[in-house]
Amino acid sequence: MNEVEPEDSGMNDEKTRDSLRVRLFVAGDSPSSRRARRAIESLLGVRENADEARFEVVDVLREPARALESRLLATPTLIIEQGTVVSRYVGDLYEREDVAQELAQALDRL
Amino acid sequence: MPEVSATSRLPTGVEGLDALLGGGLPDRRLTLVYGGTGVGKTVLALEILVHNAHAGRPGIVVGFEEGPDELIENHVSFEWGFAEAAADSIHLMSARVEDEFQNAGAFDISGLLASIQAKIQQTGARWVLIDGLDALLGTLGDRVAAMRELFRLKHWLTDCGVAVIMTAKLDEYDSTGTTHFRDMPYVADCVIRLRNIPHKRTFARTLRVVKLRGGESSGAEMPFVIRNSGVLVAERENHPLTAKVFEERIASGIERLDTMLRGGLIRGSSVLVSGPPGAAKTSLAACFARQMAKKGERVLYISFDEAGEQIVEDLKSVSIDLRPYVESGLLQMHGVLAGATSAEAHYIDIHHAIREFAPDHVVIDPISALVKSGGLDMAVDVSDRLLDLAKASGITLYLTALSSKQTFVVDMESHLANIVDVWVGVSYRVDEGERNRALSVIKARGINHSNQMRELTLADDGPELADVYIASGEMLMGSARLRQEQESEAARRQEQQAYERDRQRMYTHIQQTQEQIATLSSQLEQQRSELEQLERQKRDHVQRRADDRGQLLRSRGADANDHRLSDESSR
Repeated sequence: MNEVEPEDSGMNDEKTRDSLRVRLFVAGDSPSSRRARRAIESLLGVRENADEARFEVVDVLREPARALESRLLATPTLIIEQGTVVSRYVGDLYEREDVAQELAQALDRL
Repeated sequence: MPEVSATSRLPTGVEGLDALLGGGLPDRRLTLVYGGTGVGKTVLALEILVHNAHAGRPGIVVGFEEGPDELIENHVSFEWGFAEAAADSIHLMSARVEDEFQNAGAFDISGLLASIQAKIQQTGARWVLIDGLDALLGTLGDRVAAMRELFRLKHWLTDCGVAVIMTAKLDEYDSTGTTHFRDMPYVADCVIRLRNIPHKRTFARTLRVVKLRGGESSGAEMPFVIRNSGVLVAERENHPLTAKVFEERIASGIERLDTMLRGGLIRGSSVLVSGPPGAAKTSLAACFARQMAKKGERVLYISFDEAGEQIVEDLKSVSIDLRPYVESGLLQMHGVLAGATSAEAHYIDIHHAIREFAPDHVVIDPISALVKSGGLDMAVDVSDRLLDLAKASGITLYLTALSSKQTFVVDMESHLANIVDVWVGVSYRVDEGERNRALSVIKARGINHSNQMRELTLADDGPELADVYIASGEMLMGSARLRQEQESEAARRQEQQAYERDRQRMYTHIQQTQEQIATLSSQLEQQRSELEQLERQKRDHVQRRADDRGQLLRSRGADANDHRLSDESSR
């Protein structure tokens, strides 16, 4: 759903390629947070280049300032950030095909 | 953060609301403000936050419907200075759900609470307003989830030492309303319900403290209005019956009316001037206002359905110039559209104006217009409260009321007539093809007032009262009175002339008599002296004869017997 058009393609592919940042905000060990964590980890687990993405789980109960920084309304929230494109998904990501697809496409672009 | 007891209250600073809440909203507790669209939930909540920010308790606003710019723009017209506060001690957090969300399964609001918590730590906020939380809860999809999140919020807030206000769209009349928000009032510690009730041809906003845990609230549904100064909630004060009592008399502005009232109106009392349209009620009221302002006292003039400037302009034609007093600030004119809002709302506005201006006297012209603002019952109730308010504050209340044959107007007039201290009636009388104004004092509590009718004329220099003439049982006014006055004058002049004549004649008589008396007196004097002379002559004569006889006897050598002879001769 989020089409990324690199500013110039071809010549300096390595440099212009945007890095991928994936953050999952959770609230401690709540059931939905646990489910979301499992969902994203399994999505990333099936991808070979998953470790190229900067993946991080933020516990807002421990780091509320980071929740504020990201203007968080709900947990769990998944923020996929690649270049100027930012996608947010709120929820436990349970059986979410759209999330899986977007993440796969983002990894393909790396 | 200062340690506060569980039941302590934080004043809202909203006029009339703290009284209803018994001091304010519970600190470190959850307050829910709910009601239909556009009823004023956000305005009320924001005003509470701004007042508290001014009092040194900063706040955070989390807006689910309006972003920070919108919030400021939408509330910039209020006099409590939202924009200034927002630049300083009110911190705005945008939480527009539509911008943020792609719903991907079950979630909770821990993220929001964590953000707020971080903001509290950053700013030292003591208040948090969560404006339109229902928008977020709505995305949860079911009642149980919404309830669970509300409890999460409640639980969270007991740990973080702030007072929270949450607003939500919840309209009892809306049958299509989302039922799962109906649990909100159960979760909150304090619940304020706002309503916008259609009343006759107007809408009346009302506020009710539905619930106040750990405190008492009256539970009464109170009217409120939203003005530039903010939210004003009606107060039903319990005025002590022993209101301020004055003995001081003050001028009514019409000299002869003061005479009829044996010295004028009583300060702090209530006066009603009633009459048909055009009976000069406004002129009379304006004369009072001018008189008081001239003395340096403050007068608030509320005119229904007429702009203040228009009244000032119109009164010039009867030589009542109020402008100098308006300019000096002693007289404040408030033009109000009666039908624009409910009588209750008018009461709140008038009460607010009294509080702001602190007048010595209030004119309401005509108070009968209140029946246009929600019917007779409300108008009657509101006028009662206005009277109570004025009595308790020592304010003289000068009311005018329209007389008409319409039932509700009659009822309003008679109710007012019952409750005021002084009732002055102005009526029209039609004689000889002209319409004249008659004024009488119908009632005056505590004053032995004149029961006579006067003719009310609008002379070039303002209203005046003239005597009326009674001729063969008919009251004479206008040109009939003038003619009667002229006739009386002629008769009086004739009488005077006749009197002068008679008086002159009597003078002459008296003078003549006095002259006669003088003549007679001198005659009397003459006669008396003649009598005296006569008597003296006689006495001398007798003496002489006695002397002569004595000499004769002595010369004859007479003895003692001869004395008898002398006695005989002297008889």
